[in-house]
Amino acid sequence: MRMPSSAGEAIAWVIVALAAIYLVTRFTGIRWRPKVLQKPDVPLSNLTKKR
Amino acid sequence: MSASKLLLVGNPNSGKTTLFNALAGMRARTGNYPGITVEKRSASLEHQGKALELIDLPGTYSLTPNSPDEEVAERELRNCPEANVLVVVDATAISRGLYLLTDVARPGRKITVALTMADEAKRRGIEISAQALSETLNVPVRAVDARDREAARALLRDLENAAEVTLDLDYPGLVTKLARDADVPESEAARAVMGAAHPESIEERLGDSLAKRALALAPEELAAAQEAVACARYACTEALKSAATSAPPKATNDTRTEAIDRVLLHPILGLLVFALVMGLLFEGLFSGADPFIELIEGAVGSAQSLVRTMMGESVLRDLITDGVIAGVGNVVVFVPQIAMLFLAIAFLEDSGYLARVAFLIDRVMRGIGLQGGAFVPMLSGFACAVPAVMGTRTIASEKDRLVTMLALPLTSCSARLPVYVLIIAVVFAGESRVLGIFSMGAVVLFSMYMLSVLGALGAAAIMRRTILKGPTPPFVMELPPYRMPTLGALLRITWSKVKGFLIDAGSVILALSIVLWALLTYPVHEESVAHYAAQREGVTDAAELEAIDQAQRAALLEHSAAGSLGKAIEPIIEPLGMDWRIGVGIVGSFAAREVLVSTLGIVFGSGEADEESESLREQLSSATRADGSQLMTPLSGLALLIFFVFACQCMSTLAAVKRETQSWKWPLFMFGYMTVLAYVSALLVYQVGGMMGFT
Amino acid sequence: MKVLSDAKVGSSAEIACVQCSDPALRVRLMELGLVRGTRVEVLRKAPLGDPLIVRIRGYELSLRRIEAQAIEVSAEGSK
Repeated sequence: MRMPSSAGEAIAWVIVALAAIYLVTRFTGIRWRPKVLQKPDVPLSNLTKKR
Repeated sequence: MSASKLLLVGNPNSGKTTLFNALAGMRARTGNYPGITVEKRSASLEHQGKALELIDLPGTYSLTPNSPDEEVAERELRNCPEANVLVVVDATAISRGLYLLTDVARPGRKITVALTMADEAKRRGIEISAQALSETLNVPVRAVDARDREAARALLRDLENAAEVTLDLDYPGLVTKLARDADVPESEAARAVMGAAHPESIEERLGDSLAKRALALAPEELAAAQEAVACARYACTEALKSAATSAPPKATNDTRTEAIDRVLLHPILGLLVFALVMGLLFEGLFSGADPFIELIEGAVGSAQSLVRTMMGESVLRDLITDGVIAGVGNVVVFVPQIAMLFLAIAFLEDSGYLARVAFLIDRVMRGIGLQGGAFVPMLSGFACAVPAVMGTRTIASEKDRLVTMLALPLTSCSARLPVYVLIIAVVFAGESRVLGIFSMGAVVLFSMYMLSVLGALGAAAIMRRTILKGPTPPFVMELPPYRMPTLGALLRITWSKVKGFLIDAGSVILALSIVLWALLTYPVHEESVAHYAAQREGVTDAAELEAIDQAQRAALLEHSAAGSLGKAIEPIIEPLGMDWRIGVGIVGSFAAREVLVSTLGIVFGSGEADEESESLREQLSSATRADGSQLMTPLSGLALLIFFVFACQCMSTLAAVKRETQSWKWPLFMFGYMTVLAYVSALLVYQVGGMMGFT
Repeated sequence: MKVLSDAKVGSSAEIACVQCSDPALRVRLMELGLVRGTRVEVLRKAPLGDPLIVRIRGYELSLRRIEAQAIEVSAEGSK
């Protein structure tokens, strides 16, 4: 793999990498910050799920 | 100290959300309840120096939930036993509204009541005394105009006097016994009896011991007790109503709604109006949004030129213009159609006509296993699948909603039109007229639209009977009285939809645009760069330089990741009559279908091209395969057209489905089934057509 | 016994019993006010004969034929 030929190209690579990382995290649901704990005592998925 | 809560509870169409907006004003926040697409509206207010969290619960008829919306309302009430509850009762349907009050009431629950639509009730001859109702119930009851902010503020002052309601409920002996045995209040035992109709969720909602007792009852005993509970509650509400109405009313029918329905639901006139309204809606989406879309595309173009003149030629400049700015454009370009569709849906819904639309078309939609509510989203799909997918939220049944969402991207959206126009112009322009009247191109275009209709309806029918099969959900729906929607409410809904799209789906679309740009750019083929640099030596003629530039762009695209991908899939798409250059176009058109045209422009060395571009048409017509045969024949053109009718070449639709279903499972499934359908159909057309001697 | 789906447009009747096989639907109908002794008026049918609109307790409700078939009514009379 070649090195970026200019500072501009290096910035472009960083932007593309960030976009790709964003997609991967959205796709897999990984979070780098723990999600604020929001409820529920009764998970809704259990309510909608038929036994 | 955490803020005290005030929960707004009421029937659908009771004016509850209007009241919430009047109370919350600019402080209203909208979002989703976690893990499910039920809209959550809340606002942090300050009342008499104390923080007050106002939450507008989804409309419900009782606490025996039948839909995700109602489950949320029930769960929030259960999770906040300390919270004050403001029960919003529509004065024109007071018995039904008070029925919910009898279900919400429990020991320790502090309640106040807002009586809405009092003016409408008065017009219909229903005069209800809030004072009398308040005295019987022993809690504050206030008649309010839900749009009046001052009147709404008065409801907050009532909170000081919030109290438990006094109800004269004559529950059957079985409920009394159940309450004693399980050591719970009678109101809770009554909820358990009703809740036993949903054995799958009763345990989570009411706890083990009570649920077991309720489920242990013999079916006939349970059925009788359920009827007795409903009867007891309605007897109570009717008594409350009589006590609060001064003179026994004569006729309290809504004559205005009846008069309008005589036209709008008339067997012939009604269908004409229906066709007209749907036609207008479609026309608005299809061409009404055009000037705005052109404006946005123009602005994107200007921004790109501006950056091009400001920055020297560099990779970063290309990323900014062709990746970031084009990506932002890819997002914003949907806003006009989303705004228009939701303005229209909000108007139809708030006026009361949307329920009538579902009523009129239900029998037809049932033929494919869906319900009347699926019609408007399906129709909107012909303009653009993204707003249409978001519009499926009006469908109450989850399975019907999912099926509608998964099938509607097959309808031919407006982004497919440039693709159809280009290919038809290339391969069918010279064909003779059909029956001496219609041009071959028009017949093919019409057939593509028909094919997409059949595809969408067929896919819905098949999915409803296979992977998403299940009992037909009941179509028990209230037809609200006709009411004039307020502009403020319509704009608020529209803005919240646009904002939600920009934040949630827009971020994915922008990131995908940037990644796709990188695929079309990298790796840079240094030999081509050097080769064309050498060619440029000594050339001064502008046209010649332009030709070298175009050749270089074509060469660079050929060696980019997208080009390699196009070549890699060539063996797969060859049986469809396509070569790697079309393959690159297909890869590029994943950003948006119409991008196929501009990508083909680059691959075929015609420079900037649109579907009307003569140079691109000529290049395509004269293009040959490696063996020297013609690339675009009527048969291979037809195969490509059919591929685009069915293929899910749209990342924005996938992002919208991801947002609506809160999972990647369904968008991936959609992409898979549509691609397989597209591939197999195009394959059949090309191969069978070839065997039959067509070219 | 007569069922609601057989009632003519414009006629009204009194509900005798809601007999759905689906208990969830039965409870929902009762909670919407379709209980024993309630007056119900058939207002109109959709152009294809299904679904239909009834008036009950001062508001209008649309039901499919199949759902209306489960509602037994008595004492039919013209308006």
